[in-house]
Amino acid sequence: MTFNGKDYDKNGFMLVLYKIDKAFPRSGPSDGLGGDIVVYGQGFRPEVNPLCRLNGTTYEPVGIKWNEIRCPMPAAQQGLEFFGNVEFAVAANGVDWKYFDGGF
Amino acid sequence: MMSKHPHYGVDVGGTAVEVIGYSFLYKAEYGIVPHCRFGDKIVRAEFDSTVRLVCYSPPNSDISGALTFEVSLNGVDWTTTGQTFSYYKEPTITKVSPDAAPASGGTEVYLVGQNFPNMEGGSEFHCRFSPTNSKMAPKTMAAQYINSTAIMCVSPGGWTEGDRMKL
Repeated sequence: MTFNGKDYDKNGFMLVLYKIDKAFPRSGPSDGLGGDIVVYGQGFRPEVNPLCRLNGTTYEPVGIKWNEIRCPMPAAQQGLEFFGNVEFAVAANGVDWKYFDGGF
Repeated sequence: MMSKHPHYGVDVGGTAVEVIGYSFLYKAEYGIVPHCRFGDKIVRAEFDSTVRLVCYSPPNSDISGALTFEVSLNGVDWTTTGQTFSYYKEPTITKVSPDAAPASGGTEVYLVGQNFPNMEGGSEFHCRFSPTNSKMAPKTMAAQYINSTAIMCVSPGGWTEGDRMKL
Protein backbone atom coordinates (compact mmCIF):
# COMPACT_ATOMS: atom_id res chain seq x y z
CA MET A 1 0.00 0.00 0.00
CA THR A 2 1.32 3.42 -0.84
CA PHE A 3 -0.15 6.87 -0.39
CA ASN A 4 2.45 8.71 -2.44
CA GLY A 5 3.59 6.13 -5.01
CA LYS A 6 6.98 5.85 -3.37
CA ASP A 7 6.78 4.76 0.25
CA TYR A 8 5.17 1.33 0.59
CA ASP A 9 4.06 -0.06 3.91
CA LYS A 10 6.28 -2.81 5.19
CA ASN A 11 3.67 -4.91 6.95
CA GLY A 12 3.79 -7.64 4.35
CA PHE A 13 0.12 -8.59 4.63
CA MET A 14 -0.64 -11.69 2.61
CA LEU A 15 -3.57 -12.38 0.33
CA VAL A 16 -4.09 -16.06 -0.39
CA LEU A 17 -5.71 -16.80 -3.73
CA TYR A 18 -8.14 -19.62 -4.23
CA LYS A 19 -9.78 -21.19 -7.24
CA ILE A 20 -13.10 -22.98 -7.45
CA ASP A 21 -13.24 -25.69 -10.09
CA LYS A 22 -16.48 -27.61 -9.68
CA ALA A 23 -19.01 -29.03 -7.24
CA PHE A 24 -20.25 -32.59 -7.02
CA PRO A 25 -22.88 -33.93 -6.77
CA ARG A 26 -25.18 -31.35 -8.30
CA SER A 27 -28.35 -33.18 -7.41
CA GLY A 28 -29.62 -35.27 -4.52
CA PRO A 29 -32.68 -36.63 -2.73
CA SER A 30 -35.17 -34.15 -1.31
CA ASP A 31 -34.78 -35.69 2.14
CA GLY A 32 -31.20 -34.41 2.26
CA LEU A 33 -29.72 -37.83 2.79
CA GLY A 34 -27.50 -37.73 -0.27
CA GLY A 35 -24.23 -36.99 1.49
CA ASP A 36 -22.14 -33.84 1.33
CA ILE A 37 -21.87 -31.56 -1.67
CA VAL A 38 -18.16 -31.28 -2.33
CA VAL A 39 -16.72 -28.14 -3.89
CA TYR A 40 -13.35 -28.82 -5.52
CA GLY A 41 -10.60 -26.31 -6.14
CA GLN A 42 -7.55 -25.10 -4.30
CA GLY A 43 -6.52 -22.54 -1.74
CA PHE A 44 -9.37 -23.20 0.70
CA ARG A 45 -8.67 -22.44 4.36
CA PRO A 46 -10.92 -22.87 7.42
CA GLU A 47 -9.57 -19.73 9.10
CA VAL A 48 -11.25 -17.47 6.53
CA ASN A 49 -14.62 -18.98 7.34
CA PRO A 50 -15.92 -20.37 4.04
CA LEU A 51 -19.69 -20.58 3.68
CA CYS A 52 -22.17 -22.57 1.63
CA ARG A 53 -25.56 -21.36 0.43
CA LEU A 54 -28.37 -23.58 -0.72
CA ASN A 55 -31.79 -22.29 -1.69
CA GLY A 56 -31.11 -18.94 -0.01
CA THR A 57 -29.99 -20.39 3.30
CA THR A 58 -26.40 -20.08 4.43
CA TYR A 59 -24.66 -23.07 6.02
CA GLU A 60 -21.26 -23.61 7.53
CA PRO A 61 -19.25 -26.26 5.72
CA VAL A 62 -18.94 -29.62 7.40
CA GLY A 63 -15.34 -29.99 6.28
CA ILE A 64 -12.62 -27.86 4.73
CA LYS A 65 -9.37 -28.96 3.15
CA TRP A 66 -6.95 -27.06 0.93
CA ASN A 67 -8.57 -28.56 -2.15
CA GLU A 68 -12.18 -29.10 -1.11
CA ILE A 69 -15.07 -27.60 0.83
CA ARG A 70 -17.76 -30.01 1.96
CA CYS A 71 -21.20 -28.42 2.12
CA PRO A 72 -24.14 -30.05 3.89
CA MET A 73 -27.07 -31.28 1.85
CA PRO A 74 -30.17 -30.30 3.83
CA ALA A 75 -33.67 -31.59 3.15
CA ALA A 76 -35.54 -29.55 0.55
CA GLN A 77 -37.37 -26.61 2.10
CA GLN A 78 -40.27 -27.22 -0.26
CA GLY A 79 -40.87 -30.68 1.20
CA LEU A 80 -40.08 -34.28 0.40
CA GLU A 81 -42.09 -34.19 -2.81
CA PHE A 82 -40.02 -31.35 -4.23
CA PHE A 83 -38.37 -31.95 -7.55
CA GLY A 84 -36.43 -29.11 -9.16
CA ASN A 85 -33.47 -26.78 -8.96
CA VAL A 86 -32.47 -24.43 -6.18
CA GLU A 87 -29.60 -21.99 -6.13
CA PHE A 88 -26.27 -23.22 -4.84
CA ALA A 89 -23.26 -21.07 -4.03
CA VAL A 90 -20.09 -21.12 -2.01
CA ALA A 91 -18.01 -18.27 -0.58
CA ALA A 92 -14.53 -19.64 -0.06
CA ASN A 93 -13.49 -16.49 1.81
CA GLY A 94 -16.85 -15.93 3.46
CA VAL A 95 -17.49 -12.85 1.32
CA ASP A 96 -17.38 -13.49 -2.42
CA TRP A 97 -20.18 -15.79 -3.47
CA LYS A 98 -19.64 -18.08 -6.41
CA TYR A 99 -23.01 -19.22 -7.78
CA PHE A 100 -23.00 -22.45 -9.73
CA ASP A 101 -24.85 -22.39 -13.03
CA GLY A 102 -27.89 -24.62 -12.77
CA GLY A 103 -27.79 -24.57 -8.99
CA PHE A 104 -28.44 -27.86 -7.23
CA MET B 1 13.51 21.57 -12.72
CA MET B 2 10.63 20.21 -14.78
CA SER B 3 8.90 17.81 -12.44
CA LYS B 4 9.24 15.83 -9.29
CA HIS B 5 7.79 12.69 -7.81
CA PRO B 6 6.15 12.10 -5.39
CA HIS B 7 4.31 15.20 -4.23
CA TYR B 8 3.65 13.87 -0.73
CA GLY B 9 5.75 12.31 2.00
CA VAL B 10 5.44 10.99 5.52
CA ASP B 11 6.03 13.35 8.43
CA VAL B 12 8.95 11.27 9.69
CA GLY B 13 10.84 12.09 6.50
CA GLY B 14 12.97 9.84 4.35
CA THR B 15 10.81 9.89 1.22
CA ALA B 16 12.96 9.69 -1.90
CA VAL B 17 11.86 12.57 -4.12
CA GLU B 18 12.94 12.22 -7.72
CA VAL B 19 13.57 15.52 -9.46
CA ILE B 20 13.58 15.62 -13.25
CA GLY B 21 15.01 18.53 -15.20
CA TYR B 22 18.08 19.41 -17.17
CA SER B 23 21.52 21.01 -16.73
CA PHE B 24 21.96 19.54 -13.28
CA LEU B 25 25.60 19.53 -12.24
CA TYR B 26 27.82 18.30 -9.46
CA LYS B 27 31.22 19.90 -9.21
CA ALA B 28 32.06 20.13 -5.56
CA GLU B 29 35.43 21.70 -6.27
CA TYR B 30 33.58 24.70 -7.69
CA GLY B 31 30.92 24.78 -5.01
CA ILE B 32 28.33 23.30 -7.33
CA VAL B 33 26.45 20.87 -5.10
CA PRO B 34 22.73 20.32 -5.74
CA HIS B 35 20.27 20.91 -2.92
CA CYS B 36 16.56 20.65 -2.41
CA ARG B 37 14.46 22.89 -0.22
CA PHE B 38 11.30 21.63 1.45
CA GLY B 39 9.67 24.77 2.81
CA ASP B 40 12.46 26.25 4.92
CA LYS B 41 14.44 23.02 5.26
CA ILE B 42 17.37 22.41 2.96
CA VAL B 43 18.87 18.99 2.22
CA ARG B 44 21.69 17.85 -0.03
CA ALA B 45 20.55 16.18 -3.23
CA GLU B 46 21.96 13.01 -4.65
CA PHE B 47 23.29 13.80 -8.09
CA ASP B 48 22.25 10.99 -10.40
CA SER B 49 22.71 12.62 -13.80
CA THR B 50 22.35 15.96 -15.53
CA VAL B 51 18.62 15.29 -15.79
CA ARG B 52 17.85 13.60 -12.46
CA LEU B 53 18.38 14.36 -8.78
CA VAL B 54 17.10 12.50 -5.74
CA CYS B 55 16.37 14.25 -2.45
CA TYR B 56 15.26 12.63 0.78
CA SER B 57 12.58 14.61 2.55
CA PRO B 58 13.52 15.86 6.02
CA PRO B 59 11.23 15.17 8.98
CA ASN B 60 8.46 17.72 9.38
CA SER B 61 5.68 17.67 11.93
CA ASP B 62 3.70 20.42 10.17
CA ILE B 63 1.11 18.64 8.04
CA SER B 64 -1.21 21.61 7.75
CA GLY B 65 -0.46 22.52 4.15
CA ALA B 66 1.77 22.38 1.11
CA LEU B 67 5.35 23.58 1.35
CA THR B 68 7.29 25.10 -1.49
CA PHE B 69 9.77 22.79 -3.15
CA GLU B 70 12.71 24.13 -5.13
CA VAL B 71 16.20 23.06 -6.08
CA SER B 72 19.52 24.82 -6.22
CA LEU B 73 22.91 23.90 -7.62
CA ASN B 74 24.83 26.07 -5.18
CA GLY B 75 22.58 26.35 -2.13
CA VAL B 76 22.09 30.06 -2.84
CA ASP B 77 20.23 30.49 -6.12
CA TRP B 78 16.95 28.63 -6.12
CA THR B 79 14.53 27.72 -8.84
CA THR B 80 11.12 29.42 -8.74
CA THR B 81 8.91 26.73 -10.21
CA GLY B 82 6.09 26.87 -7.71
CA GLN B 83 6.36 23.15 -7.05
CA THR B 84 5.04 22.02 -3.68
CA PHE B 85 5.51 19.14 -1.31
CA SER B 86 3.09 18.13 1.42
CA TYR B 87 3.51 15.97 4.47
CA TYR B 88 1.06 13.53 5.99
CA LYS B 89 1.15 11.73 9.28
CA GLU B 90 2.63 8.28 8.89
CA PRO B 91 -0.27 5.81 8.57
CA THR B 92 -0.38 2.44 10.26
CA ILE B 93 -2.12 -0.58 8.78
CA THR B 94 -3.24 -3.15 11.30
CA LYS B 95 -5.45 -5.51 9.33
CA VAL B 96 -6.39 -6.62 5.84
CA SER B 97 -9.79 -8.18 5.27
CA PRO B 98 -10.52 -10.56 3.71
CA ASP B 99 -7.12 -12.20 3.44
CA ALA B 100 -8.30 -14.68 0.84
CA ALA B 101 -9.66 -13.91 -2.62
CA PRO B 102 -10.47 -15.68 -5.86
CA ALA B 103 -7.66 -15.80 -8.38
CA SER B 104 -10.07 -14.30 -10.91
CA GLY B 105 -9.97 -10.99 -8.99
CA GLY B 106 -12.72 -8.55 -8.15
CA THR B 107 -12.69 -8.85 -4.37
CA GLU B 108 -12.99 -5.67 -2.33
CA VAL B 109 -10.03 -5.88 0.04
CA TYR B 110 -10.25 -3.53 3.02
CA LEU B 111 -7.20 -2.18 4.80
CA VAL B 112 -7.84 -1.07 8.35
CA GLY B 113 -5.57 1.15 10.40
CA GLN B 114 -5.03 4.71 11.51
CA ASN B 115 -4.05 8.11 10.10
CA PHE B 116 -4.99 7.34 6.51
CA PRO B 117 -4.75 10.56 4.47
CA ASN B 118 -7.22 11.14 1.68
CA MET B 119 -5.17 10.87 -1.51
CA GLU B 120 -8.03 9.67 -3.70
CA GLY B 121 -7.81 10.73 -7.30
CA GLY B 122 -4.05 10.74 -7.37
CA SER B 123 -2.23 8.12 -9.40
CA GLU B 124 0.21 7.73 -6.52
CA PHE B 125 -2.43 6.26 -4.21
CA HIS B 126 -2.68 2.55 -4.85
CA CYS B 127 -2.26 -1.01 -3.62
CA ARG B 128 0.41 -3.29 -5.01
CA PHE B 129 -0.16 -7.04 -5.19
CA SER B 130 3.14 -8.91 -5.45
CA PRO B 131 3.21 -12.67 -5.99
CA THR B 132 5.45 -14.38 -3.48
CA ASN B 133 5.66 -17.77 -5.13
CA SER B 134 5.77 -17.00 -8.82
CA LYS B 135 7.78 -14.79 -11.13
CA MET B 136 4.82 -12.79 -12.36
CA ALA B 137 5.19 -9.04 -12.11
CA PRO B 138 3.35 -7.17 -9.35
CA LYS B 139 0.04 -5.52 -10.20
CA THR B 140 -1.16 -2.19 -8.87
CA MET B 141 -4.76 -1.19 -8.31
CA ALA B 142 -6.12 2.26 -7.49
CA ALA B 143 -7.10 2.64 -3.85
CA GLN B 144 -10.39 4.04 -2.63
CA TYR B 145 -10.41 6.19 0.47
CA ILE B 146 -13.21 5.28 2.88
CA ASN B 147 -12.16 7.26 5.94
CA SER B 148 -9.09 7.84 8.08
CA THR B 149 -9.19 4.24 9.29
CA ALA B 150 -10.22 2.32 6.17
CA ILE B 151 -9.16 2.03 2.54
CA MET B 152 -10.40 -0.34 -0.12
CA CYS B 153 -8.62 -1.90 -3.09
CA VAL B 154 -10.14 -4.33 -5.56
CA SER B 155 -7.98 -7.41 -6.03
CA PRO B 156 -6.68 -7.89 -9.57
CA GLY B 157 -7.22 -11.03 -11.61
CA GLY B 158 -5.18 -12.59 -14.34
CA TRP B 159 -2.88 -14.64 -12.15
CA THR B 160 -1.78 -17.67 -14.05
CA GLU B 161 0.55 -19.02 -11.41
CA GLY B 162 1.24 -18.65 -7.70
CA ASP B 163 -1.28 -18.55 -4.94
CA ARG B 164 0.00 -15.98 -2.47
CA MET B 165 0.20 -12.24 -2.87
CA LYS B 166 1.95 -9.76 -0.63
CA LEU B 167 -0.18 -6.66 -0.29
